[in-house]
Amino acid sequence: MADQSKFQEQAMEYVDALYAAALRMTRSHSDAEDLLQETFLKAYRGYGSFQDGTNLKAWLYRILTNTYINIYRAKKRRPEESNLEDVEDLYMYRRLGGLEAASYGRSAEEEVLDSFTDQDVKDAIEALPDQFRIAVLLSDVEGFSYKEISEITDVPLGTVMSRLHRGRRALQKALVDLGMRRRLVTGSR
Amino acid sequence: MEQTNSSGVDCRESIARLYEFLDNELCSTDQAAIKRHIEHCSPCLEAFEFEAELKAMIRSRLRKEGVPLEVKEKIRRALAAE
Repeated sequence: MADQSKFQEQAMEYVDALYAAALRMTRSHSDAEDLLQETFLKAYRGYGSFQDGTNLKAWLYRILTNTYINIYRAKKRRPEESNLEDVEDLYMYRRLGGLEAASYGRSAEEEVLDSFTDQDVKDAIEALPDQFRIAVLLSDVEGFSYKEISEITDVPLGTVMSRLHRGRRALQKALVDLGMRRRLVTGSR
Repeated sequence: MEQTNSSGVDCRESIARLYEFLDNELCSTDQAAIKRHIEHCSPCLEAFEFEAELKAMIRSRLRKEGVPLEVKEKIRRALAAE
């Protein structure tokens, strides 16, 4: 049983990370602020049932994710499935010269990665369907394990892995498409 | 250019499990087997290094925004009012 008076001190440690995740989920500053506040209020009210010594960060992300899905899913128009039929493993790497021909070389690969701005990556991740976006955020940005993501999002481990896999491929495709528009990537293999 | 080492892990399996490897989700035996493979297979090693850099790039681009002070204050006030 957790002591509610300690809540602020312990939970505020994660406020910046939770806010960044809320921004990527809602794609809007004002919605992210509302989502963050709602998350903290729910967490505070439920803190009595939180088991001290268990994973507070994961518990807060679980509340954030559930609150987001409950509030915003109704507003959502995006289809959950994106067409990834032609996106294989190592999609971006292969288009930068990759395994077959080292036509670009190491430094050119790094140059392409370096060329993506904060906004480029934000736009690319925000364009992903909810399930994929949340899985990629929780793994690549927050560093949660597959098991933790499974608990946060309430889906089986296999589903987490499949969402991550598809989300990462979709993200790579979005970044490659952007690179092609900027003529940094030729798209040939 | 399919290369298999004594642990039986080939390029196809290494690439299939690349993200589990980078995410530290493999058991220590599998992690070690893939590590041995990529240490001896430069095409796979390069692919692993690229994906690791991509993962790090995505993380670094998305982590920078801190919550505005006034929002933090609003939350503190809302909690105090509970």
